[in-house]
Amino acid sequence: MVNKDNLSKQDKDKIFNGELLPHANALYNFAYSLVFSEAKAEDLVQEAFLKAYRFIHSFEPGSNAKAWLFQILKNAFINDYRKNSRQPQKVDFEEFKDKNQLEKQASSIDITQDVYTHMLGDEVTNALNRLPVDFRVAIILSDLEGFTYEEIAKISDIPIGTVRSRLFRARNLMKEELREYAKEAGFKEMR
Amino acid sequence: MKKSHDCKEVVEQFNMLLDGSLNPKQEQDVMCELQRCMHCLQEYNLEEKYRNFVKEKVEKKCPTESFIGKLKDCIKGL
Ligand SMILES: [Zn+2]
Repeated sequence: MVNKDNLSKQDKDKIFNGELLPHANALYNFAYSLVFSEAKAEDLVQEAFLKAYRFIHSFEPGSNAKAWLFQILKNAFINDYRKNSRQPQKVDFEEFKDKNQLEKQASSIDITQDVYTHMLGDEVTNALNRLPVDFRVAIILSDLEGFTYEEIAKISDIPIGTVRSRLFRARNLMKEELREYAKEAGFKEMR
Repeated sequence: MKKSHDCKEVVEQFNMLLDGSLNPKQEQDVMCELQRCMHCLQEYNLEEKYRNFVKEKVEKKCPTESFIGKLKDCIKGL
């Protein structure tokens, strides 16, 4: 058995290049969606990779490197930004209702309608970016990156039940944003 | 005995199905329920379309080549 505390520089680089670096694009996209700045996203990704490298002995080769990296980056974001920014008091929507009680799914939108099929990528991206950060993150992790509830729970540091209710709520808000857009687009056409 | 159809429960279930968090048996059960209720089936189809729509349309930001190069050099130099 390899003593993982004594990995050679060569071993570490091999793991890094083979298993960690391939997730750089996904990690950068995630970072950008948290900070909305290319320079800050780069700093955050670099910080995450350096930290991952430093703790590479605790990484099990072949295990889920992507989830591990996302978790490191999310923690770095919280440490670097949240405590420094004087954000208005965060409202934890989930606290307001029975945790086991998922609210009703918003009436669905028919995405095949003309107004939606004509929506551009940046318009949909903007709708996503208008969501509060926790909801935005939930959608990115689940719908864009395909993480499981367990992985999202770990990355976001919340219980699995909260992942489900947060996702539900996030998607409802997203649909609301899209519906608003559709209303406005319809209004413009009428003029 | 088959239990009665609860639309709210089925909606929860098919969301979990679309999230890939049901086992094959559970998936099969949900698919059966969807066949029993036009409303749920419609909602399911719309939800599936919505998920694909978001996945397809949201733009992903990519890092620059030079940033990736810098990152590699930085690790190499450790
Ligand atoms: Zn039903």
